[in-house]
Amino acid sequence: MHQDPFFRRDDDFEGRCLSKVAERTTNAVIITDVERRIQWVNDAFVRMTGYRSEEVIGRSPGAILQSEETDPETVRVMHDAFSRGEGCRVEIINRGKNGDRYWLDLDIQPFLNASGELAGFIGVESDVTPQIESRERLEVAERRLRMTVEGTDLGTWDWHIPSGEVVFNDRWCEMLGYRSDEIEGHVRSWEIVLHPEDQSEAMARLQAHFEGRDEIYRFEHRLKHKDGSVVWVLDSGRVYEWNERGEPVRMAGIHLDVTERRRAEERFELAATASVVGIWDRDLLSGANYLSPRLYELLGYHGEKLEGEAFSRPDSVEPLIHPDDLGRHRELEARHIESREHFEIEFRLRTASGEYRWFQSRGEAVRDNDGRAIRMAGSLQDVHDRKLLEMSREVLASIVDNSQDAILSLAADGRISIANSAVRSMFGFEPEELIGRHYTELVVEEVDSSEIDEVIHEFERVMSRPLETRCRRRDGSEVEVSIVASPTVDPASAITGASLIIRDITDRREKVALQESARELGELNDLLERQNHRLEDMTDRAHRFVDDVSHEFRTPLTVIKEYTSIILDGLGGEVSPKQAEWLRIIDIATVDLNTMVEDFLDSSKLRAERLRVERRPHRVDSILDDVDRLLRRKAEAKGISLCWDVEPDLPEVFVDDEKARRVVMNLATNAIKFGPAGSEVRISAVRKDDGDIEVSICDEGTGISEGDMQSLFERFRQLPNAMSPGVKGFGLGLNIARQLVWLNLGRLQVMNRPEGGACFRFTMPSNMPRTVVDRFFERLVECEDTPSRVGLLRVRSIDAEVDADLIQRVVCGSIRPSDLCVPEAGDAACLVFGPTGSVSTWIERLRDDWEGGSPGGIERSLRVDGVDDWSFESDWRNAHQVIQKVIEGATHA
Amino acid sequence: MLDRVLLIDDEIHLSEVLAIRLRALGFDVDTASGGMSGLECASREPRPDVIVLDVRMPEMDGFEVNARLKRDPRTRDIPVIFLSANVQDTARRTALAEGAFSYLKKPYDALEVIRTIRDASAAA
Repeated sequence: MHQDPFFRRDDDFEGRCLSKVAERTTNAVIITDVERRIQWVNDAFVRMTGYRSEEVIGRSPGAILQSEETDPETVRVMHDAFSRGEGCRVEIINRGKNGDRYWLDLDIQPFLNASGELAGFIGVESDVTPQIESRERLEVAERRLRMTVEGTDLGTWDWHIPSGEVVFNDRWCEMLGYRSDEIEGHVRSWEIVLHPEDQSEAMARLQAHFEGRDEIYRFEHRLKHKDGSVVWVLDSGRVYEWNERGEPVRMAGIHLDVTERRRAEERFELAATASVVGIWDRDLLSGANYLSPRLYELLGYHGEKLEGEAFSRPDSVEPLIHPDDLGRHRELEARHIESREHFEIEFRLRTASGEYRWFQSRGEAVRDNDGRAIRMAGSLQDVHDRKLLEMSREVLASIVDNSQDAILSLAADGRISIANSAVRSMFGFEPEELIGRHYTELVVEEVDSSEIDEVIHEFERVMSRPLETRCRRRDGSEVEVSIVASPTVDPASAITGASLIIRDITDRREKVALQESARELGELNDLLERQNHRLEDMTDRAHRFVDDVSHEFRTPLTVIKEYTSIILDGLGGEVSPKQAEWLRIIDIATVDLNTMVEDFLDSSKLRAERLRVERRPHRVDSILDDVDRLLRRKAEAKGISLCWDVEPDLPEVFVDDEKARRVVMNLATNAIKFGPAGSEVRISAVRKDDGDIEVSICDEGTGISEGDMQSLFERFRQLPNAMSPGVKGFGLGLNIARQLVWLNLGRLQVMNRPEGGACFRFTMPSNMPRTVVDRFFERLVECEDTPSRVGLLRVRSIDAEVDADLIQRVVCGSIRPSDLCVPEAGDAACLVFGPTGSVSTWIERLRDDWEGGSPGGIERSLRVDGVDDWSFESDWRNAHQVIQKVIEGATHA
Repeated sequence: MLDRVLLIDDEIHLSEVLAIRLRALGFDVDTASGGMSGLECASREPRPDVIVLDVRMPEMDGFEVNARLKRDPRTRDIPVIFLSANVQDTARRTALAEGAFSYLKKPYDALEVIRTIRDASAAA
C-alpha cells in the first residue's frame, strides 16, 4: 500500500491516472491528515455535500457533516479505528450544506507516507440513501407483518424445500395443541398430522404450484390435533426463492384455523342433506353457481357428489325453468335484487327425466357495503303434489262458482256455510247474504223438505233422485227447482253436513211442456191428415153416391114425365080438360123434382170445386131461348107471364152456356115461385158500358127483407114464402146461381125494386179480350164469398213450353188454375208464371181466410217464389198484355 | 119414307114412351133393351138412319156400343145420339169426342130430342 502510485506527487503516469479517477468518480473522496483534517476533496464530494472544497479544507469531516442521528456506536467504532490508525467501513447519516440527510456507505482507509508512517486517511463515500430507506421500510413491513401474524390466529411456516427444514411459528403449533418445542422444524411434522384423505390432494396442489400451474398454493385440509380431533386449516403459501434451475428453494405460507367455519358448513350440509330442501347459491359477480346435492336429488339427479360424475347436470336451475315461468322468475329475481322485494316463486323445473315438476324457491341476496347484491342464495323445495292439489282445487272452485246450478254447503245444523255465485241469478241473493241462514228459508214452506233433512241428519243416506220443488227468491217470487243433496265429509271421514245442488228447472219444464205440446200437435196433425184422407175418400164416395142417386132418380122421373106428356098430348086417347089440368100439375112437379135433383148435384160439385167450366163464345139469345121454352109452361101454370126484353144485336158472350142457362133457369124459377099469380116476370138483357152483358130477372113479389139480403146466397137457405107456402125446395138455387155466375166471370147482385118485387142481375163478359182479361183479374182479387177482399198472391214458375196451351185451357176453364198452382195457407190466390220476367199466365181462386185489403192492394201483398226484385206494376201490365193475346186466340177459336 | 130410328135403352118403358111419340110422328122405330141386341139390330138390314143410345146399361155400356158401331163399316156412318141420365161433363165430352152426334140429358124435352133426330138424319 505504501507503494501505491496514487499518492506520489511526482509526474508518474499511474499517479496522474489515479488522480484523475479520484476526481472523476461519482463517489465522494476525502483525504485527511492524521489529525482528521481535510486535505482534499473531489468534485463528487462538492456535488454530494453542497460544500465547496475551500470551505472544508482543514476542517474535520465529522464536525461538518455528521448528523446527530448517526448511530453513536458507529461513531465510536470509527474513532477506535482512527485512533489505532486503522480503516473502517460504516454507514452513517450525514447532513449536507442545505441540511438534507443522506446515508453514506463510508469506507475509510489510512495511508502511509514514504517512510511508512501514518500520513492520513482516505475516505470514499457513496450515497446509499435509497437502499437504506428501502431496507428500513422492509423492516417496518416485516415488523408490522410479524405483529399482524402474532395478533391474529395465523400460523406461519417457512420451508426450505431442499432440506425439508421448516420454521413454524408458535401459533402454528398451538393450533394443533402443541408447544413450539414439541414440533420438529421439518416438513415431516406437517405430513404426520395431515389427514390421510387430504394428502394426495395436498401434494398435487403443491406440485401444481411448483410447476407454475397455480400461482398460489391454496388448500383447505384437515390436520390431526394433539387430542385426536380434526382441525380444518386453510393453508396457503408461495415459493419465494428459486434456484438457478428454476427449482423451488424456499416457500412460506400461513395456516388459518377454519374448523369452526367448516363445522358450521358441515352442519349446514347435514341439515341440507337430511331435509327436503335443496340449496342454491349464486355469485352474482362471477356468475358461479352452487347447487346442493339435495337440490340435485330433488331434480332427479341421484349421485354422491358433484364432482366426477359421468352424466352432465346443470350448474344452475335457470336453464331448467319452464318457458312459461321463466319470465316471472327473472322478474321476481330482478325485483329482489333491485328493490329488495321478498323473493319467493313457485315454478316448474325440468327434472332429469325430462318431466316438469312444481318447485318453490326462496332466496335472499347478500349485499356489499354499497347495498349492491353480490351473491344470492336460497332454498328449493318440491311442491309438486301440493301444487297439483291446489290447482285441482282451484279448478273445482271455479267449476263450483261458475256453475249455473246454485251450490250450497250446509253445516250439520242445516245452516248455509258456502254459497256459489249462481244464487245471485237464481234467487237474487248475494252469496254472502245466505251464509248463516237455514236452507229451509229458501224452500217454499209447504214443500216437504224432509228428504233433504234426512240426508243431513242420516248421513249415509244419499238421495235416490232429485227433489223437485219450489224455492223462494229474494223478491218473494218462486222458482221451480230440482235439489240434489249429498253428505259432505271431512278428511277423517266424519260427516260435516251436506251439499245441495239446486237447479232451475223452469226452462226445462217449459221445454218439456213445449216438446209435449209439439208432440201432441204432431199427433193431432197426423190424425188430421188421416182424417183428411178419410174425408177425401168419403167425399169421393159421397159424390159418386150423389151421381148415382141423381142418375137413378132421373130415369123414373123421365118415365113419369114422358108418359104424362104423351097422355097430355092425346097419344093415349082423349083427355078431359080436368084430366089435362091434373096431368099438367104432375108434369110441373116432375120438373121441380128434377130441378131439385140437379141443384143438389151441382151444389155438391160446386162445394167440392168439381164443377168444370168450358167457356166459349156464345150468343145471348141462344141461351135465353132455351129458358123460355123450358119455363113458359111452368109460368103459365102459375098464371105468371114471362116477359122478354132483350136488346137487339147483343154481342156474343164468353161463357159456359150450360152454366149461364142454369143461372137464368134458377133465377127465373125463383121469380116464378115468388111472384103472385097474375104478375109478370121480366127477363131482360142489356149491354153495359164496361163490355159486360147484364141479364136481370125481376118479379113483382114482396121483395126481400134486409135481413134476408145478407144470407140470401147461403146454401140450403130457403126464402120464406108467405105467398106460396106450398113451394118447396132445398134452398140451393140462389147459392148455385151465384157460384155459376162467378165461374162465368160475372157478378150476381140482388136488389128490391122501388115499385115492389125483387130484381136479380148477373153479368157475363162479352167475347172481347179486353173485357175477359179484366174480368179475370177482377176475379183474382175477389173472394168467393166476399168480393171486396184481396188475397196474397203466390207466384210460381212453370215450364214455358206448356204455357200457351195451359193459359188457353185455364182461360177457357177446362183446367182449374188450382191444378197448376195450389195455394198454401195464407195465400188468397196462386199465380203461375213462366221464366223470369215474362208473365205467362196467372190464376187462381181466392181464399176466404184472408183479411183486409182492397182490390188495389194486390201490390202490397205479392209474394214471388224464386224471383227477387219483381216489379208488380210492370209485370202486371206485361201479364195483362200476354194474357190478352192468349185470350184473343181463345175468343176467336 | 120417314127415318128409321133405333132406340137402345135397358129401361124399356123409356124406349117405349119415346117410341110411341116417334111413331106418332111417322118414324119407323126399333127398340133394343141392351148393347148386344142393339148392335145386332143396327147391323141388320134395313139399317137405322139414327141411333138413340143410353149410356148406363148392364153388360155393355153406351160408350162401348158406340165404339163398336164406329168400328163396324156397316154402322160406322149412322149418327148416334146419346140420351143419358148421366149429366156429368166428362161423359158428354167423351161421347162427343168419340163421334156422337149429340149428347142429350134425361129427363129430356121430347121436342128437343125429335128435333135432334131430324137434324142427325138430315146431316147423315
